[in-house]
Amino acid sequence: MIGRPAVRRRRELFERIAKGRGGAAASLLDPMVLAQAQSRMDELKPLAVAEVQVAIDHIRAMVEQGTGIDQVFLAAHDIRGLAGAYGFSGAGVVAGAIRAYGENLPKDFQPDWGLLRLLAQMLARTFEHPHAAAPETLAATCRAAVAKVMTREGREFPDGDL
Amino acid sequence: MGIRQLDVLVADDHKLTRAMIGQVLSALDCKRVRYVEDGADAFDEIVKAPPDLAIIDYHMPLDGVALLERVRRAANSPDHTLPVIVMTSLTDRKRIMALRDAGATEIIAKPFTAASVLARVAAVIDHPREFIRTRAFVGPCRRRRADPYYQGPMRRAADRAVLEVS
Repeated sequence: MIGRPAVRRRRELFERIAKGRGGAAASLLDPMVLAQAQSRMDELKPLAVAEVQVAIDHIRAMVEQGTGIDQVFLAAHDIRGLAGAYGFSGAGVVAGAIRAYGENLPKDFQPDWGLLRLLAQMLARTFEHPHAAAPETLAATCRAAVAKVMTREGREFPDGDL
Repeated sequence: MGIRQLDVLVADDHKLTRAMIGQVLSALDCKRVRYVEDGADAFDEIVKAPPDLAIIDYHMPLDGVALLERVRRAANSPDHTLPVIVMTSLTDRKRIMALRDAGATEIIAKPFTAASVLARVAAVIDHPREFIRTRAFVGPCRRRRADPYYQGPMRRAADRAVLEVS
């Protein structure tokens, strides 16, 4: 078996690290290590900002045309996972609302493009002005708007964070 | 230092997220970090050379749950006990339960910070959980805490041993 020596090696390595002074937490959560790791992650911020902008433009174009709900959903999903990592939590929340609305739509379902246009506009504004509204306020507003439409459509708003 | 001997596999179909995790891990100066774009390639890499730890995305071709099922149960999986940390921005109860029941070791909610990633890696190393193998479940023990007020049935062998002693 290829795996057995690797498993033994891993167990021994983890035990050695855990038994060291302060365990893995002492090494990994050391303030200097954390600062360095965050600073290296932040080097990618320009790329992330550019990618989020492209995704927002894509969503806006799609909802203006009233087509491609699957693509809208995927772009919103990417923004949801990325924007908050670089200080755009509000944009992430609005993207989460678009995703919640666009997920698991029945085949041939006609989405409420009016709602999606409103959310896409909010998304763009929130990204341009990241500190204009608190993410909690945006979450409550988006949740209320999307849940109302989904209830009217006979669908259920998913639990979990926006 | 032990941390520098880590061999980590990162699986995500989103290129920038792979790069972000890579940047975080670069601060640890790990021995090896491998990157793949989907669950199928991740499993191939695991079979080829089992890493010490896998950090995978939930939402990718051959998703996180399917990859976990393979790692934990497939006959050709070289390491059923491999620590697997799953990243997800989908945090509804149903999905989190599905990941837990598929044998996820830890879960990172997206968007993540360097601290949230490293905290999960540290938890995997410092607090390994008992590995459970039953017909219904294969993975790290899903009990995260001992509830002193629990009054339900005590069904596990370990529970019975505790009851016999007390």
